[in-house]
Amino acid sequence: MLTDTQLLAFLCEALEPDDAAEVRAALADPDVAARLSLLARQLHEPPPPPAFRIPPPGVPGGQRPFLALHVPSDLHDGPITPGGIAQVRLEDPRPPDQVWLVVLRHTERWEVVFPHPGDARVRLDQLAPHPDGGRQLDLVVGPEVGEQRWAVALPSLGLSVEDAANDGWAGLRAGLLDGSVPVVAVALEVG
Amino acid sequence: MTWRWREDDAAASTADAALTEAALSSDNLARLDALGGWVEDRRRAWDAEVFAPHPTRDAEAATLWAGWLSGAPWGIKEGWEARWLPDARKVFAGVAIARGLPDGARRNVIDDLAETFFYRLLGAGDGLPGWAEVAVRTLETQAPVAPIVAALDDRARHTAGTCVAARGHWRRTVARHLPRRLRTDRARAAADLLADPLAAEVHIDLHVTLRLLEAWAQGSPPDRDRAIVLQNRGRARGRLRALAAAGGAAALAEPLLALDALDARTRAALRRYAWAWATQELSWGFTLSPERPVTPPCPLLAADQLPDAEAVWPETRTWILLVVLRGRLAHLRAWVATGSTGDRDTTWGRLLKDLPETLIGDGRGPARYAGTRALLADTLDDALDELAPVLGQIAAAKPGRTLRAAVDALLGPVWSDAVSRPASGFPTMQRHAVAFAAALESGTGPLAPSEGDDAD
Repeated sequence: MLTDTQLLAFLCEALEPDDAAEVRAALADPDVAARLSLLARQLHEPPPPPAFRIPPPGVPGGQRPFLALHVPSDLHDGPITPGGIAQVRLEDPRPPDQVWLVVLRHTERWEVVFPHPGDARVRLDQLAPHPDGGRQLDLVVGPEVGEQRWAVALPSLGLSVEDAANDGWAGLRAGLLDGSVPVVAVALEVG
Repeated sequence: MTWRWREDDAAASTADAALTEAALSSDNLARLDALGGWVEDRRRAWDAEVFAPHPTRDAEAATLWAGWLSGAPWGIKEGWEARWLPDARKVFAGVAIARGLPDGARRNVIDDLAETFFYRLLGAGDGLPGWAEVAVRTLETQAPVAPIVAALDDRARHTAGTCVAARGHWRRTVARHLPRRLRTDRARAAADLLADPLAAEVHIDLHVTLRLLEAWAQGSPPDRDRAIVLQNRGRARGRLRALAAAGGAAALAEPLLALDALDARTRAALRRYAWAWATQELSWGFTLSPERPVTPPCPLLAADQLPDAEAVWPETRTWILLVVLRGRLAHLRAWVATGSTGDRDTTWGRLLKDLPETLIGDGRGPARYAGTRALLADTLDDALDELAPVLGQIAAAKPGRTLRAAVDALLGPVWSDAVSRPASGFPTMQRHAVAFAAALESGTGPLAPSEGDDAD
């Protein structure tokens, strides 16, 4: 009985000729051929991109100086209405005209919700100043009741939104992984 | 072939016990004949492999190889990676899938392996550099044994002769096939024999035959036969590969650069090497050490530094069983190969303390374990092979309150009193037995990485 490991090694042309000949002979069995075909598809699919690495709410991500995200205290008086707006304050020591805004939300996993391809890139200095300092961001929360996790990342100016999104946000993912992109998450109570 | 059944060396006595008339019964001879036919079929597959020459690409490949052979590889890094890293990446993806890595981890693993690959080829410390291992595998594209043997220099032949005359099961084969009163004479005769690549191959076949007869005398079932052949041939080739690679550029340059179809042969060798290396890295905790060769060396030790493998076999096998049950087989493989596990694992530390005194040398520090590691390098795969049934039974035991009694009953017949018997942690031990059995089943294998048996 050939193992998947042997079949994968065959597909990768990593078997010596005697082992490869035995796999070729075994391919007369339709079940083995079907397994090989399935593994070939898996092998030739591009590997999925790594996850967005975002620390839990309250833990700043990236290198110092940290990005801070403040939720105004009046929001703590009660949950936010489903679909309502949560006004949050961003404080980042980097020049606000040198970084742009990426908003992510965690449902089953973290995903970028802003910007999408076609959206204009929004620099931090394009957000309205907050009276308490920093910039104000209005998050339109989802309709689901319960805790919603959101995150804001501030990559440096570089790629266009299209290029970044079309690349599966690989640059952002890598920046979050190596700490070069500041990020902060928040848990909002919706209900 | 003339068989010498009697001679005055203790090494032959155990084999003699196995090689009774019953061992050479007509049933066994028929079994040997069938296996011989199968081995011949496999050999023909090597002859059928075709590598197409491509003058331009072959010349470029020769230039890239010259970078390694001249000791100036940095100048060819870009060209080498441009030509062959895509092949290696595909192999890394295959290994990552074979290991069942979760989607999110797969890309990172492939990237890390690809990033490290050139540095492994470059090597570090005293370990064999990867480029030399690939060079030997490139020579090996001609045939499974002869080109490696032909690449051995005098020193390598001497080392090989000394190793096979003194170590593991080979000791018995050499004692029988090259009967001389003194071990040093047998070592010299074995070294001389390696001057003829064809004779070396015959000698490997003889060794495999003796191993089969010994296994059959102990009741080994027919469905194990091919594995015994593959493992023993694979190990022998692995040892020869390591010795040839240790010869470095001086031994490898001429035969390598004389090869036809150098580009295609290098690509084939690189894929096989990349598979073995990536499998090893993922088996050993993904520590990505550029020092760790895929092909384990055959360290030369004085005879008095080596425990007598036959005499200490019960406790050796028992300690290895304990290591598997404690979930530290990957640590053991790394330790045998490099002398370090790469971490400060406390369970491993306790296991070392449980090593029977008979397996430990007299020196201090790592020197105490030089003989132990050499012994285990020779015998680990054989021990795992023997232990697979009992580990399978432990894996299949009913969990719950009766587990301890069940495991105790299974360990009883195979356990040596020289090793402390586990008194607790039975559910965890069963989990490790299940993992061992599952890896064996999947082919990602607790028995891998085995020398030269990379993808079996």
